[in-house]
Amino acid sequence: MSGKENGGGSKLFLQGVSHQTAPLEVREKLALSGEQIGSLYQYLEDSTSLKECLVINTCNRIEIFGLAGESHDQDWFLHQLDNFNHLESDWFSKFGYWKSGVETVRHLFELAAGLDSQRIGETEIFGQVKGSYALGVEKKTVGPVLHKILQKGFHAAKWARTNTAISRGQVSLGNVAVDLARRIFGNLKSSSILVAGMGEVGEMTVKALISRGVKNITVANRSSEKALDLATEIGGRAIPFAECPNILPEMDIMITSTAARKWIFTRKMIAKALKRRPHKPLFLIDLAVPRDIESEVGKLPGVYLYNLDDLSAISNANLKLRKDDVEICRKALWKKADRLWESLNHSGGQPRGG
Amino acid sequence: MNFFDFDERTFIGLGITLYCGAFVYGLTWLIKKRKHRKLLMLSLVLAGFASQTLGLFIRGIELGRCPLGNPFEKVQFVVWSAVMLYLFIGPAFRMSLLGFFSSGLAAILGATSLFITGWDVSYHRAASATSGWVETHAALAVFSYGIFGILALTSFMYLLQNYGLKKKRFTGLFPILPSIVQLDQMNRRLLLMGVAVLTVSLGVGAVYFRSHLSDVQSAKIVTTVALWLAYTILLLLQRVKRLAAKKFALSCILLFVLALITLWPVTISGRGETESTPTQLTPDRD
Repeated sequence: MSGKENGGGSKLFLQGVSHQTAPLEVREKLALSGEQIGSLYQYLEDSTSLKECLVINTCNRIEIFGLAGESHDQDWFLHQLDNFNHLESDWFSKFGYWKSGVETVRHLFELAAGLDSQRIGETEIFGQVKGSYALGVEKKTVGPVLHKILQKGFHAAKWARTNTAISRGQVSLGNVAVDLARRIFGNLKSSSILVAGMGEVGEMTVKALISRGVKNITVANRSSEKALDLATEIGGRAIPFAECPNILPEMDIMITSTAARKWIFTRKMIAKALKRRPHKPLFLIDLAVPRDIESEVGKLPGVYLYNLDDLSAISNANLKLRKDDVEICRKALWKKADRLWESLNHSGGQPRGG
Repeated sequence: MNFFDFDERTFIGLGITLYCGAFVYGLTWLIKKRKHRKLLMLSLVLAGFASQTLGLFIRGIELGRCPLGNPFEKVQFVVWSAVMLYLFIGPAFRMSLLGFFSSGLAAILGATSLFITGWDVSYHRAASATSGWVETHAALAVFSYGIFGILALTSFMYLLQNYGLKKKRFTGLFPILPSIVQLDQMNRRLLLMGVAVLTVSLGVGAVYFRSHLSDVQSAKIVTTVALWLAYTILLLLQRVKRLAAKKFALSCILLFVLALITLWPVTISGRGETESTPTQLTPDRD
């Protein structure tokens, strides 16, 4: 791979699948583990003639940015992916999008600024893009072109947050979860929470619930050391992960965000827990992608199951009011992206787009 | 008896109009997706209640007894009981939307009984009706219907909240409904209260009718006891946790509809038997 070979005409492109084009059921099948991302980089290096590449993999998207020969197109790239075991290239053609040239730069700028996020204007994506960039640098797949685009993208994202109203009026997922919990339990002071696994969004959600009076918190993690650390941090108690089914009947709210590849909590398991707590509702928040809780669980009486897409949809409910802010921000970012694209094209034989 | 030259139906009509006003006011704010002003809603319901109370009081004075002799009076008394309960429990339990639903129920039932003039027919007072036992029995029975009316409303609110949470609806009415837990608790308390009042009513009735078997109206007894039995079974099932909250709420609504329907056999049966032993004739009403 070559961040190293920059000579000749090149095509900058992006192949992706995100929450904009694919439902959660599809995205969770495309989600890659850290190890699989490493394999993907290795595969792209060994099996394709990409000059540079970067993979952005979050719970809401998988996007591959690449710099290829000028004649290469989407069919060529999807054909290249055919032999990579962990991704179905058919899913990319069915649910994905392909962008090239300046469109790719515009997309990356919007992405870093949170304009393409499920919750418009959120800041977590900025850190995720930075993390992906760091991994690309480590794998030596990011060359001068992607490096420049990403650096400019980070500046543009910071500019957008400071100079436009994009992050204003945003409702955090934590607050959405609190509102829902109140619609179920009313006063949250006597509610108990089980936290199974913990990501950034999960932590935010737990903290929002604690701030509204929840006191009884139990943390379960595969690593008991990590569970203990988390429990100490948020003032709860730690239990081994295997204890979750036994303790579930005592809980009112469960937040899950584990890295498991398949369902951990099945309908049968939850139904069994409900029998031991008749007449008490159970609020389940599944923040994991792939999901931790079988979707059929939501059909059980007295169970209210919400996943990441559901919470984001509520969080974006006031988006209509911010439509003008979003458009102003988008236009400003495009202007910056177009300027960068022009400068890249004038700096000698660098990327073009289809 | 006239009060400021208005008869009792005018005061009752004014009360129902104010309930309608409260309902329309609440509905307008809900359509605008905003919270209504609780104080104004409460004031409208309170003013309606005062006017309806005055109307029923005047009629009671005219009859010399509790006005529960025809469908109009019974429905009005059920509405009055339900609104009185709302005035007690609504503000105490911060159930602001209960005012909206109570005023809606009061407006619909109250207006229906006002517009169907055939319901407000003259009737003869039976000898038994002069007994304090029978009056207490009838008043408590109809008051329990009022409790079951509010129970039907809180059950309806429970089903709405449950639907909103299951179907992930976040706008309009759903975010301002009381919580699932609060509504479920309220339903259980109201059911217990309703069954207790109806049980006392039947007990009081039994004390009188045991010594006056000839006054017993079979249709009335059968329907009232059947209703009492149905609510008691519901209460028992709920206590032993054999009924899911959603099914419990659905049953409460269904039973209230049945309770309203039983008012007719009770009234018809009562009218037939009272006409056979008249002791007093109420003033004719058109």
